[in-house]
Amino acid sequence: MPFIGALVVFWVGKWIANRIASASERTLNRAPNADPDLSRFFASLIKYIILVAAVMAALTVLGIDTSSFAAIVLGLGAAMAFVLQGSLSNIAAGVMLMLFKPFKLGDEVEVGDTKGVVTSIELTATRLKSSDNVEKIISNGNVWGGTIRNNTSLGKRRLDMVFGVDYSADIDQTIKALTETAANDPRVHADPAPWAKVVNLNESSVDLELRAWCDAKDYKGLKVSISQPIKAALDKASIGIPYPHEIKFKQKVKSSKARNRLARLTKLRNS
Amino acid sequence: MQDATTAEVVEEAAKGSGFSIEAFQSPEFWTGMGEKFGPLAINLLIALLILWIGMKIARKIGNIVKNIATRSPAVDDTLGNFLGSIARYIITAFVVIAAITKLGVETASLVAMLGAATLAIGLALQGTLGNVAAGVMLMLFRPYKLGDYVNVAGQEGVVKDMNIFTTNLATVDNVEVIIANGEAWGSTIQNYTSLGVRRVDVDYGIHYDDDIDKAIKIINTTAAKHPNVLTKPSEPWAKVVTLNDSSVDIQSRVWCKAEHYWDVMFDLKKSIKEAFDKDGITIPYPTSIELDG
Repeated sequence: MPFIGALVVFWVGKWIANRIASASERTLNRAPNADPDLSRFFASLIKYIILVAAVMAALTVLGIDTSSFAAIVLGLGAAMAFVLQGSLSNIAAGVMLMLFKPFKLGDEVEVGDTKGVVTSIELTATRLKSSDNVEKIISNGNVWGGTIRNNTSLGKRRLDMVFGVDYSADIDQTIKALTETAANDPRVHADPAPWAKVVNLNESSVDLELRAWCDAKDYKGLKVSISQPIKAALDKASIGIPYPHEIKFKQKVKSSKARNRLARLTKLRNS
Repeated sequence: MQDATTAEVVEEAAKGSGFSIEAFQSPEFWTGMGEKFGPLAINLLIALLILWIGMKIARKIGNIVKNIATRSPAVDDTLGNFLGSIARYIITAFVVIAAITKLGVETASLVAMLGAATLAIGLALQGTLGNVAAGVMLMLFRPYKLGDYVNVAGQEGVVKDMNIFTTNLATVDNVEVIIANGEAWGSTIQNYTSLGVRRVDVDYGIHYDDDIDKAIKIINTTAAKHPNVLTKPSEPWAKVVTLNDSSVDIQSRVWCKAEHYWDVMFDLKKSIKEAFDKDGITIPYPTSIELDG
């Protein structure tokens, strides 16, 4: 009779576990930033916890004192927690990544020193693909908790490029050439309009920075294709891009300091 | 057997199994059942009652915690919601255990399991919880607020979002940077906005043969003409700071509002270069002397 009772308790427990698990999976899936993998993981976690409780209840019905199990469960649980700490923290980080979505599939990101397009976000690791087609697998613990740079998520990007022109060139004319060339490219946004200003009075050149806004997906293409039309536009306006300059004077040796140095050098060369 | 009545079939079946329908008809059976299962039914009812009331109390307390937290100006809504739901789930766990105990199930092992699970979750979330603690610190001490231009953990940008886990920046070229609060709070934070005004320092190198006083005058008057340059905390300032390899370097220091910093710097570089050109001050190329003889 207690045996049948225990069996009934266990079956009822199992039924409840299944019901609650599938109900919680459905609820989790309804959440606004739900992830099916994550919901299934949590549902099965809940299911097994209830199952363990059902087994304990069934054992109690059988008349077995389960309080001694408590110590075993606690000990085992603690040991497992310590052993699996690394993996568990990766899973916890994976859960965080799925909940807070700092990036989604197809985003171009920089995680720590690793750069690439996100190809999959798993419970324990995130996979990136670099532009030269190397797969990079980063454990989620390293992704969450560090610094993530997402090049895609804000939708548009600003392309910054520096061009050095002659000191003799007219600055306003140069600014006009830069901004007009940028504006002529269909990928460059009209608002905010392309911008160019003097950012540095360099050794041999006046450096102007061009800032143009574009869609995030056009950024790389624009970066490699804007220099050529800008060189053409500067050539047309006869604005030179200078070579490094250096002015050299020839001077007769007259100071004693320089003479001594020269004498030392000659001595060194002859020895 | 075709013309056997239902009663005969029942009788036949009862004979085989020792089961008799009379047993169920006797009142003693039902009082016996009542004595056996009555307490269980009452306990079940009480357990359900504990569960129902307990859940209500948990929700109430969760809401109270949330309201108190949200009302305090130092705590933001996300954190308030988070604290509220933590309070609610902890109380719910106690309620569920109390209800199960009422049913007569030995809960010691369940409590142990819960303890082990908490330990496991705690260890797994160690890093994340550290971030939460740092997030609370950031929200209480506010080293930066939304819209500030900052340098946090080596990343520069405008603060777009602050939550209990991360600080999100947008860099000037519009890359989203997500920094865990643990890193943000543990590193040096530079806030370019919070003090309101900034000083723009730029070095201009002029030729060794040029008139230094004239160059200083040009730098200061050109700077003063810029609409965003302030006269407080001090007027534009320029002095010789380095006698460099090929040039005499004059540093210009002007004050402006933090949001005008880059505009002022770039505009002044252009207008001072043009003013130098006009007044015959030269910015020299690197110069070297070759000794002869």
